[in-house]
Amino acid sequence: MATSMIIKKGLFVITGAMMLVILYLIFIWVPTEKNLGVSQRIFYFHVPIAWVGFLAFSFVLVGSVGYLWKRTSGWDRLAYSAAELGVLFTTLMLITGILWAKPVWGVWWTWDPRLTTSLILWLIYVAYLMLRAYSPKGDQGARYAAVLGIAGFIDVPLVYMSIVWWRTVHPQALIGPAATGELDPSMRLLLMISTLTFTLLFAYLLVDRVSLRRNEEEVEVLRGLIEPLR
Amino acid sequence: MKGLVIRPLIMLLVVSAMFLSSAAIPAMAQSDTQDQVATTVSDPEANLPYLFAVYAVTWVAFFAYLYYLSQRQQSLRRELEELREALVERDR
Repeated sequence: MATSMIIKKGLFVITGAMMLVILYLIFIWVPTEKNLGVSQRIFYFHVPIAWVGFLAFSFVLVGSVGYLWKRTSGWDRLAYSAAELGVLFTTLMLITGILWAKPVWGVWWTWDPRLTTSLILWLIYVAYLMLRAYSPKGDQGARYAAVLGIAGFIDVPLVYMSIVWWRTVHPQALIGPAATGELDPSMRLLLMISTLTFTLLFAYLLVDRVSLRRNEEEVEVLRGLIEPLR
Repeated sequence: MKGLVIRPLIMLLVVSAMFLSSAAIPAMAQSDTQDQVATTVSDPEANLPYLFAVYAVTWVAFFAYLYYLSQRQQSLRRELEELREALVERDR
């Protein structure tokens, strides 16, 4: 069995097991927060999903810089795959955020700095995927996308720091250098375990998506060899 | 030559607009948000449907994406095999 296959299967099994563990911890083990009630349990999915979204876009940045520097398809493959996953996770971040806002704030959506910058982030990387779909295949399309992938990343620190730089109703950061939010030790532990689990899920999905992208490129090359003969 | 000048200019404009909107929109938005929202929960148990919705949406999305990946992988493998066979046929 190839090494990548072993890594993929290992990641799948570990992530699946950890998902079951965090579900038990979220619904049975961790205490209910006294002010927000059961809706606070949404945090254990919402915060890690948001973190993984940022992580995915950092991979887009690394892949894009790598592609512009080295011009090898491996970097582009990484950037494209990470962008698709970043959009998936950011979409879920927005949906879970909306579902948390309604019971707690009384509105589905408000033009708060954190929410607005997050929506802009999502739009930037949806634009990245649209650019990939409609731009020319090969080096030219990859170069345009790499520029957008790098420029778009500027919004990631803006989203993270928006709760520090602007007046906002969004809760304070719980993860990272700007973290100031108070949290019970058991809740903090669970948040860390949940973040680790979602990071592993992202790693599994990234390995799978990169291998799919490799096959897509191979099909394109073979089609190019055969089409002139038909 | 004209295209060579216009294209980078358009890209520069798009990127600048992106940055400006990223910073300006939240700054404009912040003034009235705190008056609009409430942060108290009168009946915490009443929020169970929202909690259920979050977990359901997340799981459905991940399973749907995994299903899409596996279906696409299968169809690509089939296509790759067909294309390789076609290439072998061509070389005979």
